Amino acid sequence: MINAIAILGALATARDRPLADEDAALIARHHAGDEGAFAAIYRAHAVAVYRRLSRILGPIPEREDLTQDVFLALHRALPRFRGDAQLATLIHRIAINRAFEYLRRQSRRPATSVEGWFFDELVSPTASPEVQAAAREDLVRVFACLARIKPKKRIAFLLRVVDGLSFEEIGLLVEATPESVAKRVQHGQRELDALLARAERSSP
Amino acid sequence: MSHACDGRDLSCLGCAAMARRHDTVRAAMTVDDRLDDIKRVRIWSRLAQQLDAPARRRARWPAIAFAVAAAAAAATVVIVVRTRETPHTLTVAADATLTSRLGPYTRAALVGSAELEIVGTPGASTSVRLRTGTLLAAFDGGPGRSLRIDAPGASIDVIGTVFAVDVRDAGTCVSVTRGKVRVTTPSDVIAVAGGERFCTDEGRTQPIAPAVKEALERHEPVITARVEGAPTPPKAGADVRSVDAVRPSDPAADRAVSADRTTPDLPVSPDRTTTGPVSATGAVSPDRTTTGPVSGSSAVSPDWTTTGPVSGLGTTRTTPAGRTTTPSDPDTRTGSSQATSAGRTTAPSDPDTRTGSSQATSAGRTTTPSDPDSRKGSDPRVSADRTATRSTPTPVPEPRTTLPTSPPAVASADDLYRAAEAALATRDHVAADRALGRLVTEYPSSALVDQAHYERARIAYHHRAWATARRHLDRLAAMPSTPLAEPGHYLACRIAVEARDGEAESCLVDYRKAHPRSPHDLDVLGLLVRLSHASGGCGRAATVIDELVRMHPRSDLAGAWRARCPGAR
Repeated sequence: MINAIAILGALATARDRPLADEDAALIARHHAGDEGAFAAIYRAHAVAVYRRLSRILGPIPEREDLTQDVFLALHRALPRFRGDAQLATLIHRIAINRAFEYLRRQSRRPATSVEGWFFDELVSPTASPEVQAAAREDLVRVFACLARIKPKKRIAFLLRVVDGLSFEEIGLLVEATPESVAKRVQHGQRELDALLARAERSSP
Repeated sequence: MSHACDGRDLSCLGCAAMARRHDTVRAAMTVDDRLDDIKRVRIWSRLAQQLDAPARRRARWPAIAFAVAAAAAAATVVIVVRTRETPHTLTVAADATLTSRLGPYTRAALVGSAELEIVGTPGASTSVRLRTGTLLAAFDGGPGRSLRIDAPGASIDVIGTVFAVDVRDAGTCVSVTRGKVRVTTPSDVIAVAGGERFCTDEGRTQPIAPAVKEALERHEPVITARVEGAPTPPKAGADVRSVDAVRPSDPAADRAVSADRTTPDLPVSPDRTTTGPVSATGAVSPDRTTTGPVSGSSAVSPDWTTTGPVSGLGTTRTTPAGRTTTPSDPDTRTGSSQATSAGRTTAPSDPDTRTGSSQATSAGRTTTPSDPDSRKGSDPRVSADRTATRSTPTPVPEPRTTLPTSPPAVASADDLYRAAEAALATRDHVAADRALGRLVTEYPSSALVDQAHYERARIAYHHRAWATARRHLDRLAAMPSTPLAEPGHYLACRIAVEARDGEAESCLVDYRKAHPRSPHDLDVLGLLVRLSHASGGCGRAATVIDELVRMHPRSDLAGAWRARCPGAR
């Protein structure tokens, strides 16, 4: 674990340093008891955390609660944080852990189909009814298929396909080797392709 | 497909199909991934509350442990729940305390003896009538949520707080430790803030009585424990148990089903600060943790936490979310099997009571690993369905389904905000603005006023009504310490840019000074670069482009401006 954090720190690119410096200053202020520092950390990272959770879990209503959980966990972790890794990396690791736990809990429950109305707000209201219906069906199908993929594979696959992260970057976030990540991505991709293809064939 | 597709080889039909599927996945997962300002502020408000809470809980832990031990040592604490005129009236015996949810966002402790009536079906909007006794409660307020308590001589609208309502012979007293409530009496409307109390027989606010404050402080860890992030399931280790119920029409309604239950983390202690009957109505929600014999009638819902025997009749208005004891769910597993059996134990004193009621209970409460309802927060609609059938697998996010399309003629601030949200969801900006306008006018001291100003400004901005938008933002800016100050400032700058105001650039610079790590920083820098470039080309924009590249090196915007003005760093 310590090695992984050291590697993360070493991998911080020069381009990220200005933000990392600001984060370090905020953490120092937080350690010194400045109550506003954590609010500033939240302001700086909340959008990215929410986006990360959305891109792994989809537009589920629990994202707000999970975002809140992530920052609560961060608040508890900060006293032990010594700046070996970037703050953003720590935050995203927590976010991915929370997403993983959520998916694991959900996977223990029976698969439920997501109704189209759930996505009503996400479909362009100006499109024709046919286009809206098709868009809703697409979304329903994608989420139904994703829900059947194991959480580890799903996370690795989505980090790769949606966020375009490299295997190394994903490995650092999910604490796995790039080889292991590559396998997860590959398997996740195969499973999803098969599920989507089957769903497309069976749809009218 | 014998080769590995890299997403670029579209001459292969298989790869092209895969690329299309990935596009669909990408579109689906990014369709709604933006955290808007309202959500951001809302999350922070809840988070800030939680960040405060643990310290208090730790500090009081020894006292709580002592109280729990005392509760366990006490021979019997009796809570009687039974139906009166309707199946939604709860009566708590003297020397008993009952802790429960009243809908998804309220956690309450009824200090017996007490009588409480639940009006309608609890949900985001919950209404209860306290006839006698003391109700200690924590309400997690927010858009679309409301809690109203009607008591003799006063109606209490709760905005988001920890508070107590005490109905005595002399009148009704409302005491608040945190947050704010609005008390409406026949002659006046009074805002009661943290540290204050208002009694109908006194006619003005006074400092909170030490005894009530002490009682609230003692119960606060309990009643706030699950309100925050309300629909989440109980923590691992919690002893969550199912509750039996009897149909209201059951002739055995006055008899009880009881079960022996012991809950290690029981938050209720037998000692009481206030005496007198307490009656609680309301949406009882799905989790119920109990100790001691419980006999249930009526609207006993699964989320009552009780010490001592409870008797009740009627229909369980179980809400499904996260409360069923799913053996495979680590959050709810502890003790679940015993709980289930405990919940079905027939009261030794009256075995006949079980007839009919147990079927109703098992229909509504059977805990199976495949219970799909355990996925979501409590939802009265689903719970009602569940009483009859268990085939309602679809999770129902409550706020989306309970929003009214138009506010009632006499509406609370929450009603109006909820109506505005519903109107915004359907893009009916006129109705939304009207509801928000009413909120601002009718409830100028509401905690939702700043959000109303901001939303009205956004609506006006959407319609390019710059003057109107600025007027709303000016009102927002005049409000001290609102968390919407930053988004409001940003919106003001956006308006300045859109309106081609000469002050746009200085507005953006001031914004960055005031909010150095804001989530809008990239957008603000982008606007600054655009304005600088428009007025003086790359030479004038170079400094801002440097700042953009320094602060957001990986952004597309930085890359684009670097390419356009290579002279910059």
